[in-house]
Amino acid sequence: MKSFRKELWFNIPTRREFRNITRDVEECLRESSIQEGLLLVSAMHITASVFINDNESGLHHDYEVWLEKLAPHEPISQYWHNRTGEDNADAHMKRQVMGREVVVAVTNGKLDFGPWEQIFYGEFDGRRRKRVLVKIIGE
Amino acid sequence: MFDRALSDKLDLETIESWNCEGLVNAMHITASVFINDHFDPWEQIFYGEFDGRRRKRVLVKIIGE
Repeated sequence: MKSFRKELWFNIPTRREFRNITRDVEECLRESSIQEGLLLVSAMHITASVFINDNESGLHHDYEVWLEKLAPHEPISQYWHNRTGEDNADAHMKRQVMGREVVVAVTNGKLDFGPWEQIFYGEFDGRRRKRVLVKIIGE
Repeated sequence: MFDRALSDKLDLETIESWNCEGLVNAMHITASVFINDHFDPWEQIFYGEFDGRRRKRVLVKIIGE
């Protein structure tokens, strides 16, 4: 069984953003030359997410509004975590809701997706360099 | 609706006898696959439908020997 590992780096200029990383992940799969296997994409930071859903801007806006209702950024003082001097407790909550990683089946050298599935990086505390891990195992 | 245990559709006994790894995932972005219980003392795999009344799919992928 072969294995492949690569890190994708991001430096999102704003605090929050959803970025479509499907093409980057497909490029990793090509590079690995694995035809049959399993592919993991995982946020390496605990204030960012990797998830699969629709590439539709209205939906991404709805996520943003929904997450802000669940875990408002402000007031910053409402979170015990922020007593450490940080201001990103909400980002830890948002990441927990949107998830850490996705696993995708690899079939015939392609991501074995349903009709509308795309992979997104969800940034909740940006303006710094952060990473996503791509790990592929198979033949 | 969470009305159908996918476990009943998979031959888990045979699959567990193989030296393999795998995954079960919803192929649609308005459906889920999750594990919880089903009035039984053990885990069951469920399909969660949130926008039904049409044909939709779940992928089962197993790799190994």
